[in-house]
Parts: sequence; structure tokens; C-alpha cells
Amino acid sequence: MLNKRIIGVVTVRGGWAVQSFGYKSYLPLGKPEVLVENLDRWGADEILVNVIDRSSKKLGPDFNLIGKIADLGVSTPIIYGGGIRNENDGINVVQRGADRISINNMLFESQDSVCKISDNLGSQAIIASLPLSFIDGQLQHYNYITRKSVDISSEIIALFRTKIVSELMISDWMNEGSLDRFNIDLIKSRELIGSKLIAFGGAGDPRVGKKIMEYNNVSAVAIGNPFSYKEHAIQNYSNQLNADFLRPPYFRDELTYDWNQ
Amino acid sequence: MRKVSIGIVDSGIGNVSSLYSALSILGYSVRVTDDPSLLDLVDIMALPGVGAFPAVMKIYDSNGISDYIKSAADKDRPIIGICLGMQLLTDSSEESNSFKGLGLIPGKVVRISNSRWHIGWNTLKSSGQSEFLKSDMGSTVYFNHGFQYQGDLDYHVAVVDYFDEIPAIIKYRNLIGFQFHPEKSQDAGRYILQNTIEELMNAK
Repeated sequence: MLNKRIIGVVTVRGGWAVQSFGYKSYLPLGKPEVLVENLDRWGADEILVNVIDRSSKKLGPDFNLIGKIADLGVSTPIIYGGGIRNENDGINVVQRGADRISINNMLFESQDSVCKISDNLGSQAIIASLPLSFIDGQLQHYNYITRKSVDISSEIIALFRTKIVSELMISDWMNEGSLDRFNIDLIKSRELIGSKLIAFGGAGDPRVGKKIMEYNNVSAVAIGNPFSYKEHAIQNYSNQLNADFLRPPYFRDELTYDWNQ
Repeated sequence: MRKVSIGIVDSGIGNVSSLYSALSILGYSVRVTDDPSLLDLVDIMALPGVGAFPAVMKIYDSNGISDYIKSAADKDRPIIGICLGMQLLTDSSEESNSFKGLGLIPGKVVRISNSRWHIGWNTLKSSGQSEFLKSDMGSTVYFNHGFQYQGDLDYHVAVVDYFDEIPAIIKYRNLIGFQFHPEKSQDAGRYILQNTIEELMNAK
């Protein structure tokens, strides 16, 4: 049986891993590659490295960080997001150490580039990242660069329906950083019908995570802050969910096996 | 003792760094190249995953790598294909009207039925046809694909349950295909890579 996934999220800003609160305030945590190494050791199902200031500063992808993570020999699938501008960026990010990519800004600025990346990497490798909220009962997308919420255009919805991307990561950006305030109504939005969803932002409480993952259209929950500083955080989260739709918690002790013996 | 050497066949598309790191950590001598004179020197070739079938076959066909891989397979040199790399070893894919596969493993690649993609962790079951990698059955490994192998059951080593059964490991002569990503399946995947390489080397 295909298991649902718990994705560990490392948010990076100014070269440092940070705790993020509501897309507006940040607390530094340390070197991103150290957090990635922890999440790998603690058995995340995937790890999202989300570099949030690369697109706004027009810096392109953080290849230096991707290279550092590749050098660690991480054994968990890596999703990279941040600064991807075109098909070459997407291909290079995967070549240099990621296994999937997450795109946000490009969805709105260059849908042609999204299609070209999909033509080269396959749609299974692409996740669309969407910060969402309801404003006056209307589902709106939050543009983190302009800091404004706007309606989701029919063009974007059509893009999802053509399956150019495989999954949508819907971020409850207003509740990001909270433990348990993820707005379940986002999952039920008619605009998202037919898409596989990854839920992020306010799902750090396992009871909320379980509630979210019981929806058929949800394939994963993504957790940031709560997984950043507690040893064995993922195993504990998984244990508390105690759900048969997850794989059993995994833990690697580097001392148990020497691959080169 | 001489290290086993592995050549990752580089098309310019694919998660070559992930595969390179995993194989290096396992202690193998690894190079990433599309140069036949360097691939001649390695014990085992590996075709990496992550990519679209037509995009990578177009590159393989245009730079002569397709012919080189076919000729290597004719000489029974061992080849491992991972995810898309496995699909390229077959005759054809529904993902591409323009490009045929390498035609080395009889069978074709078709769209997964009942779902557009199979993404996440799933548990290997023996197909009952093969003793290959018997000790790794029951392992939970990472998949990320929208197409699957369809061919003779004799070539199935392992399958996973997803609506119907999806072939997860296939074997034909010295050609091994993984539909999942052993390089990104934590310890379970590393054991599978190590056991596969050992078995291929023992068979030489």
C-alpha cells in the first residue's frame, strides 16, 4: 500500500535556517544543512528545503546549499524550492542534488517555463507551492513578494488540471508557525478538486496532522518549526498519529552499520 | 582489494548527484560521464532517474549513448536502471510518441492505471518468480513515477500494491531495473543497491 508522507520543511532566509511565523517574522535556527541531516536521520519521508528570499532578490537557486546537501549523502528525497527561474534552473537543481522541485513564483510569471520543466523532468518531479487563505469567503493566493492576496486565476486552475505538476503544496500562510491552526476548509476548496495536496502551516500537532491526512485528496503533511529542534521529532509525531496510512517510524543510528566494512 | 567501479551515464537530466553520493557512501568508485571511453572502464553502468522519457532518449540517441549502451548489453555487461533509467531499457513508453526505448528488456512502459502518479513509500513483495534480492522483500522504498513497466512476469522480481500490482524490480539477463529510487530510500535502499551490485559482480 502507498503510504501518506510526513515532509520535514527547512525554511532558509539569508543563508540561515529560520523558524517562520505567518510569512512575516523569523527566528534563526542555524545552518540549513545541519537541519537537513537531522531530518534525514529522523526518518522524514521527504525533506523540503525552501529558500524564501531567492526569487524576491532575483538570485536564482541556491546551488551552493544544494551542493552542500548533496555532499552529505542524504538518503531521503530532497525537494528544493527557491529562485527557480526557468527550465535550466529546474534541471540543474535536480542534477546537483535535489530529487524534486517546488515552484511558486514561476506559476504566475512564466507558465511556459513550468511546461518546459515538466517536459524535461516529468510532472512527477514538480510540486506547485501555493500560500492560500480565505478572504471574504473567497480562496486567495498570497503573493509573498508583493505581500498581497489575489484571486487564483482560471489559467492557474487549468494548469493544475492539465497535470503539469503532480502535487500542490497548500500553505495556510496566516497560520504558519502555529501548532494546530491549519484551516481544514482549504483542503475542501472547489478550486483544488482533482489535485493531490500537501498541507503546510499549522499542522505541527499530530491530532491536526491526522485529521488532515484522513482526507483522500491529501498525500502528505509538511511540518516546519516543530521538527527543527527536538530530537526524534518525526518518530514522535508519527507514533502519536498511530495511523496505518503511514509507514512505521524509522530511525537510523549511524553506529549500527558501517557501509564500508 | 580493488573497488567495484560504477559509471553513472549522464544525459544532463536526472538526479545524478543523489545517486553519486549514495554509491560513494557505499564505498564504490563512481564516475558520472557520457564518454564511452570512460564507461568502458567501469564494472557496472547505472542509468539514473528523474526525467521525462522523450527528453532523455532524445539526448541518448543524439550523442550516440544509445548505441553504446545497446552494444554493452550485447556483451552482457551489467546495467542498473533507476526509475526513468529502468523505463529507458524497455522497448517503448506511452510517455513518448517520438522516441523508442533502448529495447534491451522486452516489454513496454504504460501509464499507471487508476491514478496519475504513484508518489511515496511502498512495500516490496516478491513476485514469486525470482530468488534475486529475496532478503530485501518487505522493505519499504520511495517511488515517484507516473508510468510503469508492462512485460513478461518472468522478468518481475518484486511488485508493490497500488490499486493493482506495479512492477518494482525487474531483471533480464544482467539488466536490473528499479521503478523506485534505492538511492533515496534510506537504509533499505542502500542495502538493495549493495546487494544488487554484489550479485551482479558475483555473476560476472
